[in-house]
Amino acid sequence: MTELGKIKLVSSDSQEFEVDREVAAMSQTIKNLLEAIEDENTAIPIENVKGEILERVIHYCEHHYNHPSPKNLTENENEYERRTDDIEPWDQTFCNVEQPILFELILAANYLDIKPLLDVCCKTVANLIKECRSPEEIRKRFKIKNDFTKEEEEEIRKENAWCLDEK
Amino acid sequence: MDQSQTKSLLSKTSETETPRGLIGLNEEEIEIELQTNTYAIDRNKTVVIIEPESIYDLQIGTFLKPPPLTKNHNDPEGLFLEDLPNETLYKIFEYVPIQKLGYLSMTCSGFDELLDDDDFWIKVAQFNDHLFIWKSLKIYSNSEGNSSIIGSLNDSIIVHNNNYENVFEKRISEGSFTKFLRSRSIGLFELSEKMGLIKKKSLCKPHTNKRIRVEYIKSLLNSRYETIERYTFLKNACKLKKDFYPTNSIIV
Repeated sequence: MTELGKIKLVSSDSQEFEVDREVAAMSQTIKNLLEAIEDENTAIPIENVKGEILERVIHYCEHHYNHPSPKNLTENENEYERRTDDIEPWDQTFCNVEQPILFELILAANYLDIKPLLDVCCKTVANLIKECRSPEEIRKRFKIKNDFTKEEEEEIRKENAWCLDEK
Repeated sequence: MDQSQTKSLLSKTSETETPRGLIGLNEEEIEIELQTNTYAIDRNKTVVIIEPESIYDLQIGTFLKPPPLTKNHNDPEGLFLEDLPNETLYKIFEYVPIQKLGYLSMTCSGFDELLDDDDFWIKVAQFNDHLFIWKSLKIYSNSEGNSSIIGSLNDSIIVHNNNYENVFEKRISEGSFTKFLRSRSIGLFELSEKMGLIKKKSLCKPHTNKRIRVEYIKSLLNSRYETIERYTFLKNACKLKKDFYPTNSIIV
């Protein structure tokens, strides 16, 4: 039996989290589910999200529920403007995690449909890419395996000569 | 829900209810269907096919295990950038300047293929405050009433300055739209330098006063006149920048 106003989320590795209904509803996916479920005490399985990640997601939602941003990045941002230098300090710290966790957060945010979290995580990854000054640096930073043959690599370098010239 | 559970639920639906997705199938076909699709019983006790992407959109009365979110990757080190689904990668890439996207496509064949997508580039272009790129053939009249042709019968790039003057044209002889986009960047950078319209470094910053517009024309031989689709696309593009076309523009 969950506390009044709370719901239970169950991660893919069977960890259970009791969360305020309103906090959980920051996820559009959960919000839709809550509207569909008749029994308030039904535990909601979040099958694609591990406990470690779900805990972080809940932490994010709780923080932003209790400290609403003066501007909602998703709603107020000029849709033509794709800035990445406007991440709030708390979010910066939140996203300052190892890459695999950051990617898991992106997947979770996408799956749970939490736009502000997805945006901030995507911007963080974009910033990591932007810091790289060469394809090699990107490979190194993201552990990308170069699977081009020598000939292919030569060809692709020719194709992309424009961006290599613009250092 | 596994197959046996689904079957069990299936048997609980009354004969008068219509099992959507299974209409007209015999037992053997239903068996095959059950093996190839995921079914659930919705709140009206009706059998419905669950699309992976809509598993939580349906008003279902039971939870199903959704498909994995990542591309196949079971590395013990965890998730890598390449493992993210394309939809999510594109979302990230929207925030990445085109030069770095060029770098990305040089890192591995996966990203090269991923970034060889016209639709993505169009979207990126729409989000970019400096240049708007779209596929079109346009003939319009300028503010003096003179007709101007944007594009030609061959693949070409036309760049306008803020007064809608054709200030630069670069032909490309071959290649996909993406290749063009890469080549157009040479044009843009060269142009920015030559004309002093914008400084190199400001290309990726929003809200520069000096803007360059780029139009791309692909396979124009049969598209001299606008199709509805192209016209709609242009209209949408114009909505992005209402000031782009002079008021007396004529779209042929």
